[in-house]
Amino acid sequence: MDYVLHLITTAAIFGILALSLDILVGLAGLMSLAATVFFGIGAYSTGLLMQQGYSPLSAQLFGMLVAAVVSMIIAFPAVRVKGIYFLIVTIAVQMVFTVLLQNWRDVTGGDAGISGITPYALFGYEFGRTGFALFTVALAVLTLIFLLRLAATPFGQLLQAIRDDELGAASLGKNVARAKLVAIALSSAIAAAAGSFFAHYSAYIDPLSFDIGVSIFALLIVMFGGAGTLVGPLVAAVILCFLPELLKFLPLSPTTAAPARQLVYGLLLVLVVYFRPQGLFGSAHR
Amino acid sequence: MDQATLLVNLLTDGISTGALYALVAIGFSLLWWLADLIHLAHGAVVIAAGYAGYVAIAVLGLPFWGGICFAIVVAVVLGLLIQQFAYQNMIKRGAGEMGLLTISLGLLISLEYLVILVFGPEGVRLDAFQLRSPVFPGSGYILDSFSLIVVSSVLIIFVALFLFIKYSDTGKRMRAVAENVELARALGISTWTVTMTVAALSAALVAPASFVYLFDRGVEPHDAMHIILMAAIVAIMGGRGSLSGALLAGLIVGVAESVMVWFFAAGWREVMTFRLLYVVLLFRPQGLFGKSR
Repeated sequence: MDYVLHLITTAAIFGILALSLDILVGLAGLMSLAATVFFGIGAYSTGLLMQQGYSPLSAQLFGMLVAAVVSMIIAFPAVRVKGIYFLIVTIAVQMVFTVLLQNWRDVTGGDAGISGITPYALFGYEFGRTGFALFTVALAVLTLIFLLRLAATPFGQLLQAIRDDELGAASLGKNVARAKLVAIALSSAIAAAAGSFFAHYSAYIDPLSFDIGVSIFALLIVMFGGAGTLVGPLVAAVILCFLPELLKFLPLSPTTAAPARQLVYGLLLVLVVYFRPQGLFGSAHR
Repeated sequence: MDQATLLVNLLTDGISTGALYALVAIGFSLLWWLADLIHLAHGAVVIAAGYAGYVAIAVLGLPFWGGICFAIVVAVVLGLLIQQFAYQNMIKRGAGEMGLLTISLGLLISLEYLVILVFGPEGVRLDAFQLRSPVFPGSGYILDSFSLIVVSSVLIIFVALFLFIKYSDTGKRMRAVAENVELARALGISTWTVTMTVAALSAALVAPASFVYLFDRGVEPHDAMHIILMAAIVAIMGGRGSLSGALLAGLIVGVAESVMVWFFAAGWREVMTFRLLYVVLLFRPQGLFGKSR
C-alpha cells in the first residue's frame, strides 16, 4: 500500500510539473526543455530555506517568486523568436543549471545535495503519507481546473492565438512578447511549487534529480497526453509514472535497467509524435 | 609557465576546440538553412559515426582511412534513414515545427541510449600517439600536429563546401531550394533529391568531427545532447545559412571557453557559452552574419 501511495504522490507531483509545461508547449506553442530548472529552483529554495527555519509554505512561495523572476530574465531575449531559438535557449539553460548546482557548492552543496528536508506541513499540520498523497492529488486537480479556466480567459485565448498565428496576434495590437513572458513566469511558478513538494517528499535533493533527463520526461508527458489539452498531460503523468514499474518485471540487470527506461521514453516520444501527433487526448483537427 | 606561454596555449586549445564546434555545426546548419529542419538527432549521428570508426579500427583492424570510410557510410545511411522516415514522412502528413522538433529529440535520446545499451556508457577512445607530442618540445607550447591537422582540415572542408555551394550545379540547386521552395519546384528542381543530397552531405561531414572526438577526448554517448547543443548555439550565433558565420562563431565560442579557464574553474564553461548566446540573441537575434527576416 505504501508503494502505491508513493506512485500516486510521484504522479501527482509530476502531473503538476507537466501541467505547468503544457502552458508553454500547448497553449503558447513554446517548446521548452527547461521545466526541471524551475522545478529545481522550487526544490532548492525549499531545501535551503527550511534549513534557515522558515515554514514550508513561505519557502514554497519564495521559490515560486524566484522561479518566476529568473524565468522572465532568462527568456527576455528568447521571446521575440520561437521554435529553434527558444528550444536551444531552454536546453542551454538546463545545462547551465546542472553546472550551477554541481559547482556552486557553498550554496547548493554540490553533488552531495541537500538532505534532511522535513515533510510538508501546512500551518503546523503534518499530513502523513496518505494525507500528503491526497493533498498533492487535490492540488494537481485544482491546478488543472485553474488552467482550464485560464485557457478560456482573454489571456488564455491570446496565448493560443500567438501559438497559431503570432504575426496575426501582433498585428491586432496585442503585446505578444509580454503575453509570452507572463505565460513563462506563471509556468515557472507552478513548476517551482511542484518542486517544493518534491523536495519535502523525497527529503533529499541533488543535481541528478534536476538534470535534462527529467526535462525530457516532462516534455514526454505533455506530448504523450496531448499538448494543449491540459487533461491529457495529467493522465499521461499517471500512466508514465506507473509504466516503469512494469519494466521491473523484465529480467534486466540494474546497469541496463536505467538506460532501457530512457530508451523506452525516447521511443515513446518518437512513436507518439509519429502515429498520434495530437497525443492521447488531443483531437485530430486543430 | 609564464603568462604569455599560457595565453598562447589557451588560444591553441580554444581554436582547435572551436574548429571542432564549427565542423559539427555546419552539418546542422546546412539542413536548417535548406529545409528549416532542426536536426537535433545530428548529435546522435556524431556518436554513431564515432563508434563505427572505433569498431572498424579497434575491433575489425581496418586502417585509419578504412575506419573513416566506414564511419562515413554509417553516418550517411543513418542520416538518410532519419531524413526519409522521420522528417520527410512527418512533413508529408503536415506536421508542424513542434512535431518535427519532438521527433528529432526523441530520435536523439533513443539512439543515445541504444548505443549505451549495446556498448555500455563508458565511451570509446583511440590513441593518436606521436601526433600528440608537441611541435616545439621543451618550449612549453602545447601545439601539436594533431591540432594543426584538425584546424587545417576544418578550413579545407569549409572552403570546399563554400566553393561547392557557390559554383556547382548541385550547390546552385541547393541555394534555389533554400531561397524559395515553391519556385524551385516550379522550375523543375526535385526538392526531395536536393534535400536528401544535403542530408547525406551533412551526415558525411559528421565523420571527421567524430574522429577528432575519438582520438582526442573520446566519444561518449552521454555527450550527444551536449554536442548538438554546442552545434546549435554556434549555428544560431553564426546566423542561419552563413558558412563563414558558423566558422567564426565556432572559433569565438571555443576561444572564449578556453580563455575563461584563466579566470574561473573549468566546470563553469557552459555558463560562459550561454552568456555569449544570451548577448547575441539580445542584440543580434539573426546571428552575427545572418540576414534579418
